[in-house]
Amino acid sequence: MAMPIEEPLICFQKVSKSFGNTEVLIEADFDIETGEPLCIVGPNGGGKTTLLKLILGLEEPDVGSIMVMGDSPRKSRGQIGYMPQYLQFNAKFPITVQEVVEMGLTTSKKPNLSKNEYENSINNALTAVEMSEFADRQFSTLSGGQKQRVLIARAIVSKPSILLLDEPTANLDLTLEDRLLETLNKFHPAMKIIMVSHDLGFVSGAVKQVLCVNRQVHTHPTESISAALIEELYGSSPRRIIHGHDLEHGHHH
Amino acid sequence: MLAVLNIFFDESLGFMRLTLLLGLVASIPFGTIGSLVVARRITYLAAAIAHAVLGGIGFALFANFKLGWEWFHPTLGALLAGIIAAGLVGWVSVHYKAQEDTLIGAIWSLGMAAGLIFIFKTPQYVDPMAYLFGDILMISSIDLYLVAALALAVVAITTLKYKSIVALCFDEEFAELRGLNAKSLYQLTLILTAVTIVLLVSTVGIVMVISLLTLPAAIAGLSSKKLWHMMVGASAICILFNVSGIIVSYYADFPTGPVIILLAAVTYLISLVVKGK
Repeated sequence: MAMPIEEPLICFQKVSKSFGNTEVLIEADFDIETGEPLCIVGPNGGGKTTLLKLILGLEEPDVGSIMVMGDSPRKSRGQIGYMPQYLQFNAKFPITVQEVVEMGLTTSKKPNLSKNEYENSINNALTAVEMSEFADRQFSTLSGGQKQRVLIARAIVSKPSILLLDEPTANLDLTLEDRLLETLNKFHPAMKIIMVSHDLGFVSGAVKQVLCVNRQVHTHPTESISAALIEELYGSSPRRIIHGHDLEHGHHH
Repeated sequence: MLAVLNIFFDESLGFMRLTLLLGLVASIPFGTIGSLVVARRITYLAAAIAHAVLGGIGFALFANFKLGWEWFHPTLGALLAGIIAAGLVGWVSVHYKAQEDTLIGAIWSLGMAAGLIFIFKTPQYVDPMAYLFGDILMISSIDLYLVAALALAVVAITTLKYKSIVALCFDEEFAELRGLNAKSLYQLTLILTAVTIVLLVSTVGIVMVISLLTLPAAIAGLSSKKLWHMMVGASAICILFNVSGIIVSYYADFPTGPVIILLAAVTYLISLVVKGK
């Protein structure tokens, strides 16, 4: 279905979601437009991952409606690439890096790519995340950062219209972290990148707009993220958030 | 080798021939589905299905001797109970995640309880031990035909659905996002597991069949890079355990099922030590 130009890419209207007695999102009402990358920030348990799962149609809202590319999330999910925060897989699962990336091209219908195009897509995605020489390696033997690169390749291999990354820099080494957005943009420039991140240092340098989620959702330009706003959002000081640990308890990087 | 040839050519060893052929035919689905069970880490669910199968066997025996349903072979009863148990186990593990352990345990023992009551009420004496621990004297040529047909079906379906099943076993959420019907595929995996379990219940028994399903796959998994490598390796190892277990049990005059399982368990432990895992 062709999408009218003026329609937002993702539209949340008064969306609320609870798990049991815990309200995770309360009347989330916002639009996400095409173009610049967007970052979702907020404290643990604030509803960031739930927000992504609602966009993907993996969770249904209790109240309100969600439109993705002019359609329901379930109908649009074929055009969304997704990298989860945690992969609950069997650590010894016998699967190669190439097979993991191939999963990003799996569909219930017959693939419309020729064998050559299919193989090239996988090679290109692996090359983009600098993992092409590991294609034949068993996935379980990789380091945390390498696994994360492979999962990014799996998310982008189908060249989706929207790319959702849940904590993409959690295990990445600094060399790729610095170039992550540039790399993804180069791979598929038309892709809208939406990332969840705890790392405000990375966020401030990477995107112009952030979506602050702590049960309620507000959008802000990155430059308006002040110490007072972080205090309000996270309930603690910016220094503790940025470093991701409590200095009072003596943890140091 | 000579022992195997002897079994094939000695007229008086017809029952051994049947057992051996049944073991050979069933090993391929055992290796294939066992690999899925181990890789997906659903051994507990498979064990519940295996035990619930006694309900169907008991009912089939009762129906045979009390109701006169001679067509209702115990293997068919086991197959029916296995499929029903797989459906229930799948439904519970999807919809009642929080109480999964308790409910699966209940299905496990409910099937056994029903089976034992049916066996107790069957007019002709039936030894439940034969079904619980296996008895190769129970195997008939009908079993062999049924097992061959089911084995073919299991392997064909797994081959056709291979890529989808790999995606499901590795990352169910992502498989669903790619448009695969993860819940149906999961249910299919459990039904294939149930059918496979039924194939060798008469040889190794309900209590031990789960070890023959998982141990060859676990051994093959120690050195497999891909799931299909694990499936092929596990099938070959399963053939080895079945053939050697049947021969050893015959010549040493031991019960067949326990010998096969002991061989599998000892080999698994040695493999773990050798691989240092």
